Amino acid sequence: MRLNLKLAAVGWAALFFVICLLALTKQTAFDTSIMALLPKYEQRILVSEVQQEQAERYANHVFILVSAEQKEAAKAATTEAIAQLATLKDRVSITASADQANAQSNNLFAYRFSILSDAVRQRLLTKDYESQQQLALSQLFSPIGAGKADLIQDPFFLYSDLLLTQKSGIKVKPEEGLLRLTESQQPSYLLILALHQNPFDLPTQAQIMPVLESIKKDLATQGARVSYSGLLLHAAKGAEQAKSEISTIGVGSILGITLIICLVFRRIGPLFQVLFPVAIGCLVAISVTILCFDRVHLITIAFGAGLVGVAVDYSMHLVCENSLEHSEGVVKKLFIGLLLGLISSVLAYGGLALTPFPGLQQIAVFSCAGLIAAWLTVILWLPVTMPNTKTALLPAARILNHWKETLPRLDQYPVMGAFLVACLISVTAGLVYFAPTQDSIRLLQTSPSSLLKEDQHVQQALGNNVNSAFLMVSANNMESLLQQEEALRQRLDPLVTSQALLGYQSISQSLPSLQRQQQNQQLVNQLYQTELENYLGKLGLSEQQKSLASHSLDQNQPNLTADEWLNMPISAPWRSLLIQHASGEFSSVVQIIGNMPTATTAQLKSIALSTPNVDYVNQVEDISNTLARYRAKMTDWLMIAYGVITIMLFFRYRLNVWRVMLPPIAGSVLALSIAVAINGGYNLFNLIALMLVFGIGLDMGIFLQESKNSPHTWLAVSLSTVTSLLAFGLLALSQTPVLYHFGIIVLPGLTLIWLISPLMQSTRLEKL
Amino acid sequence: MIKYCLSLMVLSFSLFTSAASLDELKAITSTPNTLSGTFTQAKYLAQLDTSLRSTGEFHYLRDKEITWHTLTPIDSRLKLTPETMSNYQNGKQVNKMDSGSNPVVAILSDIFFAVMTAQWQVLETYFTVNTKVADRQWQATLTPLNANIGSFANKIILQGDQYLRHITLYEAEGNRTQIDFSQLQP
Repeated sequence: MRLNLKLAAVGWAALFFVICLLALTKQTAFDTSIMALLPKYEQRILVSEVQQEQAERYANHVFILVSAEQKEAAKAATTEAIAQLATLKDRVSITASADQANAQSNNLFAYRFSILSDAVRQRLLTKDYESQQQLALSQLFSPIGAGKADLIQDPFFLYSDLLLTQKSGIKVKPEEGLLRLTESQQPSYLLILALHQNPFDLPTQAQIMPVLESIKKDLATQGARVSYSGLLLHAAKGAEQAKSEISTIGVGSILGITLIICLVFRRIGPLFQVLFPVAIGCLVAISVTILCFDRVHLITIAFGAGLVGVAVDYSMHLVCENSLEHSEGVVKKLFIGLLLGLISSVLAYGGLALTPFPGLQQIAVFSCAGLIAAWLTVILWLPVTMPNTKTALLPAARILNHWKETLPRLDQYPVMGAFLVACLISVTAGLVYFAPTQDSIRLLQTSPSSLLKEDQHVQQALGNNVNSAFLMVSANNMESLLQQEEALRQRLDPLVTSQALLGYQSISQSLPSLQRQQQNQQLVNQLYQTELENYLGKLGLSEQQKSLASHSLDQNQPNLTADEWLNMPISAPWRSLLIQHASGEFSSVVQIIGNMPTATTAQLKSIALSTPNVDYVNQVEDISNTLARYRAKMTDWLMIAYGVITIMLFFRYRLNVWRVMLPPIAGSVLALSIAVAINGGYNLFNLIALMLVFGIGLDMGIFLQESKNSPHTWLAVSLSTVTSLLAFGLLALSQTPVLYHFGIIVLPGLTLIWLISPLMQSTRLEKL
Repeated sequence: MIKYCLSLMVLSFSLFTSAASLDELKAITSTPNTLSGTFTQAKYLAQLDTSLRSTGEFHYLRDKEITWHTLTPIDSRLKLTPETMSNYQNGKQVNKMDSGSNPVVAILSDIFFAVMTAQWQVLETYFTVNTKVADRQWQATLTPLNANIGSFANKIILQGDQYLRHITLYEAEGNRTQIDFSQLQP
């Protein structure tokens, strides 16, 4: 037995080193993107590919806005910013100016008869040639015109119309080698950084952020204002916030534990014995998580900080009991309780892995690995480090026990007990059926509002008024994609006309389908046949010149193909709307401009439903729906976990099982009620926290039941509750909404369980 | 009137001897809050070797709006604000373009505003400005800084005294637009 234990201890040590070494060799990013917690959408693969592509495009760019009171100052500041950014060449590519030579080159001139603006097309379709002629005349006499006035090659000024109706996505214009914002009160310039690595990459953050901060500071002294927009800023802020919060929680927890243990045991040894298994547990938990996943998430780490509270139980019991028993006896005496505690917690947390929620799966792996490692360390290594001498009952244990004995026992008052249980059941039912739920995406918003405001400021200045919802068109080839888009636009245009929709952007506005281009050419041919003679005659052109003009139309009828278009600078703002799938299929995004009333949203949805190959995609709504779905699943899982564990423990405690189960149930229900009262509703993260409350509460009940009211068990339970509270008390103060919602449950939950548990003890001494 | 203009031009050319600084120009030119007057425009189309003449009236509110109303040979009104560019025919709006979403419109309206209201600082962002000043008469030659503007004009010559009196736009392929202002009233 002794040898076996020693062998096992050595085996565990070897395994521990192997796990840690393996984890060290793996490159892992520290992820704060809350989106990573969400499951892959249960949608068509094309939709999720498009969503991913769109998200990555946003993720990998930083938009920088430099503005000042005076234009010269703004320009100087922009030049200075570019100079400072040049040091980041390995990490980012900088765009400071448009390709000016090409920005307005005449490469669309050849296509003036096949690409027509909506207005011109409409006039030609309705044969309103008179208006078209009038417009051409006013162009001819206008003091300012776009493109050349050429009565032979383009008498109806179709090219100039094309130029004037081309739209650019963001409101900038090239000016003196820089990008100047067109719709900003102060003179402002735009710089765009494209990151080479994803924004969660820590070295990327570490190199870029200080430069961005120093640019902001340096230019502020020159009177220029610099604003940033990009996921990088949020990611860096999130990582920083997580780091600081986790270290406050970690430091707070460890300081608290140190202080309390030194006070209670008056020795330094127990401190090491308590913290050592926790440290091993955390190391193994992180290592195993790194080995199983590509990115370790902030929420996992935060939950892990809380796990200290569960892991500390095991060593606390051993250390407390060691005051009265030899080390080997302690393990024997506590083994069943420790094993039951571990199995129930691992079952509860392991169950999370069954949910299709990647974030919850990570928490499950982290928790189970950490708990098992801490437990093995307690059972196999701790006894070796323990003194073999008995000491007297600890004074703290005596005081706590005395207080506990004065509390009433519930089994003395069966009627009262039954009444309380009935109350509990009705409160639970009330919570499940009536408590408002909060599934808004704002819950996931971890960035401080100042950062969000800055982001919004930049996006507004850029005129980026794009709705997060969009329509998506898919097809097997480009031509069919464009044709379907044009068909869809026919259904969208009435919405724009009736002002239900502010507007939209789609590729076919810049690149019409070949079918549409041929139609347009026919329309122009008809215009020429009916009007050219009369129109040019009015202007006094000779017969020869008229025939030259008509000849020019016949000579110039090329179609713009998708490949040619993609190679033109004009397609630059539109390219991000086109996605080519690995399967060879194409999708395009039809961006919605501005906010929409719900009626319009419903109309867009019904258009998408009734049109093949068109999808309505709203990621914000999807995320909220997903949160709601998993909140419901989590409620179910909590019920199942409680049920399964009650049945499992029934085999050991028989009818006394209520003494173990009632405190965590009561504590959880009351804590949830408190959270609902404070926040006006509950959410998924409250429920995840209930899982932890359940784990710790269950341990408490099991040990109290196993130890038959031993004063040292009560001391251990109280100590681990206090340490957990120290850790979670700080979580409730977190600025990160997700962590706050976690803390707000754990804080009252654990306190209540600790207060309720003594009431559940048996008044008779039973033999189990 | 035309004689007067021509003689003024001849006179001007002969007197312009030294390059002046923009500051001098700024000192001479005045841009009242509102200005209205009539214009004569001759658009020379090299290809057809013919000039298209038009006349009309204009009115501006500085930094706010320019109305360019062609009366002959057609009735056509162009209204420019810093944000939009609209065309009216026979009093009816036929189109409206937004300079925020179209860079071409933005540059065109920027330049036209700057030319009409003598905003030399704005012009300097698009052109190299060479000026000559003599006896309260001035001439400025604008050469585009980049190809973008080249499609609008290869060269612009502005002439005037207290007010802008003549604009000559040299466009692509030998086309040229000459605008003369008269009856200017602040």
